[in-house]
Amino acid sequence: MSQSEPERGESESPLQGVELRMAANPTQLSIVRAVAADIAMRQDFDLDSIEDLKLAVDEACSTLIALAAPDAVLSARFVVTDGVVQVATQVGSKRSSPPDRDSFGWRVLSALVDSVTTWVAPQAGDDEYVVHIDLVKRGLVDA
Amino acid sequence: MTVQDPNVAEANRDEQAIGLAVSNPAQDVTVVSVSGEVDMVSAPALRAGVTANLVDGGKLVLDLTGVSFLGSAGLAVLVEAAQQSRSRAIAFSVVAADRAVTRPIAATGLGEVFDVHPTLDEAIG
Repeated sequence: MSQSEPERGESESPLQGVELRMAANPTQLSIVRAVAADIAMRQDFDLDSIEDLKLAVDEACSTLIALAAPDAVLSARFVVTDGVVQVATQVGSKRSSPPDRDSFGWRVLSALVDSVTTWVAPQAGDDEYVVHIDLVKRGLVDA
Repeated sequence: MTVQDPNVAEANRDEQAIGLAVSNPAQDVTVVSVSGEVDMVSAPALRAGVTANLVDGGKLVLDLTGVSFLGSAGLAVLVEAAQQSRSRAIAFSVVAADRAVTRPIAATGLGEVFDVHPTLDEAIG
């Protein structure tokens, strides 16, 4: 049995930072936003950057919820390194199609963070695919 | 029900409702005051509230002073309202004071698409 092995593509090192796992349901979004804002505040992000991270995480998770398989789990992992917040979000999906990068939401997302990456990986099991969206956000550095 | 389409969010008993209050401070002026978090859950309620109060040739002020979060689903409602207003000769403007609303509007450049005022009095003009 291989159930104790890490998922493909996952780091084998112990969990770093914070990981939220929740039903892929939009009613959970306010909790993810609250955690994102709190993490940004603890990094002394300026107020605009706190708002940006909150918006970006909401957008990433909203996008994934729209692609989620029924009863899928949405995961959002926050890792802070040297004042940079990295957020890795993923959800199980029946479809291999990535998020629509021409959508209004994606434009909003791209405008808010320093980088955003998305990809779809096949996996064994009922959901067949995992859709990922990774974000990187730096707090504003005084010019 | 396990339907997760945001368009049927009104059927979801866990819906985080937003507050919508409608007033007419002057003839042909409608103010829709919104409170709460506008995300993919609550945006359909906002859209319904805005659409119901678009009157041809009138003036609609959307007061977002009480909004504590405005995601892209909510921003999309504002864009649609601005577009409909243009084609129906409606004066549409938004009241935004808090960073939770001003930041997403500024970050997406939407301040160019509709008028944004810091106070309701200024918006009613």
